[in-house]
Amino acid sequence: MKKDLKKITAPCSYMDIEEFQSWLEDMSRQGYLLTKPGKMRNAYLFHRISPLKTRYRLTPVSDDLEDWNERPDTEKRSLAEAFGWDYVCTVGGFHIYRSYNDEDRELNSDPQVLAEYLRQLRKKALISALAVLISPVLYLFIVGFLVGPGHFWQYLIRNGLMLFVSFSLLFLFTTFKGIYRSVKLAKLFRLLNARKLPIYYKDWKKGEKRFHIQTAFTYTIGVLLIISFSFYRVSSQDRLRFREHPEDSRNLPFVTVLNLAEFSDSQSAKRLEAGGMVNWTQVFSDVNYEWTEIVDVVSSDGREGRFSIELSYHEINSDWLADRLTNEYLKEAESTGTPRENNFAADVDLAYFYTDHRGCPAAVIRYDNTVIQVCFVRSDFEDAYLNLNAWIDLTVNMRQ
Amino acid sequence: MLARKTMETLTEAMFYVLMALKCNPMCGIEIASTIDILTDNRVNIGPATLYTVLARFEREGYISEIAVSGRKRTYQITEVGLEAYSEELERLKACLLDADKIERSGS
Repeated sequence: MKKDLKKITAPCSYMDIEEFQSWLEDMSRQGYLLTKPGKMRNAYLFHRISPLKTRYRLTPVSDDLEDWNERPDTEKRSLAEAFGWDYVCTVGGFHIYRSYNDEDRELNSDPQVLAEYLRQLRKKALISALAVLISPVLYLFIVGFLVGPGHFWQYLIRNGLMLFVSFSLLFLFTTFKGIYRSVKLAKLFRLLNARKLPIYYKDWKKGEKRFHIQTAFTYTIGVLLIISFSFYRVSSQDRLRFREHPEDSRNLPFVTVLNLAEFSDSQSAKRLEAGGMVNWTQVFSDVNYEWTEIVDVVSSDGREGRFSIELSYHEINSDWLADRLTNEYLKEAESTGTPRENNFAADVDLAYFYTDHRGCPAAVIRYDNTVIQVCFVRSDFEDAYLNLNAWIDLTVNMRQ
Repeated sequence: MLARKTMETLTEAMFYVLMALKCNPMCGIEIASTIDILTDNRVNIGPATLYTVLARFEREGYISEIAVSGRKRTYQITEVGLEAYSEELERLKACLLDADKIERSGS
């Protein structure tokens, strides 16, 4: 039985109803009777038979979007069968019926009723598509309102920007699909408005080439996107390479990190074991971590004590967003009136020391798409300045 | 032009469905057969059109389901449906009168 089945790719979309029906009728004349849609897009399974003259008709499932893949109920089927129309299958919101007798009345006899039905369908599809389109914008608006404009980008980046972007793409795809359906249905509307029904259309092959080009283009874009995402990996390896700034001198005594006394991280036990900045890789998403370190230090004048350091670490898959986040952090420097001082190591794109809103010494470090904010929230030395380079050396050494 | 709303002005198929149901409560196949007879096969309502119209009429309250027997559902016309039918009948009569005036004037 399975040998009799053949999978054939359609030369047009089922949304081009006239062409699709005509193709099915030609297939029947060549000895292929439609059985059901295949698993792949535009593929259909046909049963091998003796060539047969058959009429195919597509009719909308329902003007209710929830029932798009529903089979016709028994009343509908028995009514159609009573007039010689056999239900074949359902594809994308349309029931496909088949009749073997030319004398049987049309499945849809009234173009006006069909047009009205399709109009409802199109209206709902468009409303649904537009609702889906504005939902990411609404989401942004609500998030912006809840977290406040000053922290908007920080919030968005820390809460899975790439996930958000992925969902947005999905929303856009759904919207595109809704609009695509509407455009395709417009052609059918023109026919119905002329009080004509979609019947056999002998020139259906005219649009075949265009359809194949469109399909190939869609698949190519899809494959390219998948390949791009597959190769797009964010890695923090070998990036933390700071040098001691030769001119980093101040009047205050330096404190130097002796060891990492405590390491607090609620998000990742793995990093705790590694004891500091560790390598991690994340695909399809930005890397965002926040943690606190308490380090034992000794000052240049021989005193021992501790520093508590808060860190926010972000690897962002976009220069533009990394810029936004950096600027968000730097706004804090402006708000406290601290002159920003870019006198840090050479291997970074920029680094600023400032005093944060709590009065704690802080720094923003930026290299490539990585943004790090460091705040020294507690110090045993009121009059000491942490040798930040030494601290970075420690974390770099720990992860190696 | 099909911009008009279908339920404001009944299409031919809709009008005949109401006409058939005005005679008697009946199921889908009986409605189609009655229309065939009434119109002497001039109007052959298709099954998809028929169930679309029936579903729409039921939703709008023009008809109501009174019995279900296996795969067969029997419908009857409601007061709302009768009103819509009468309005459409009056409209069609007026159209015919207008056309008649033109015919009689010989233009």
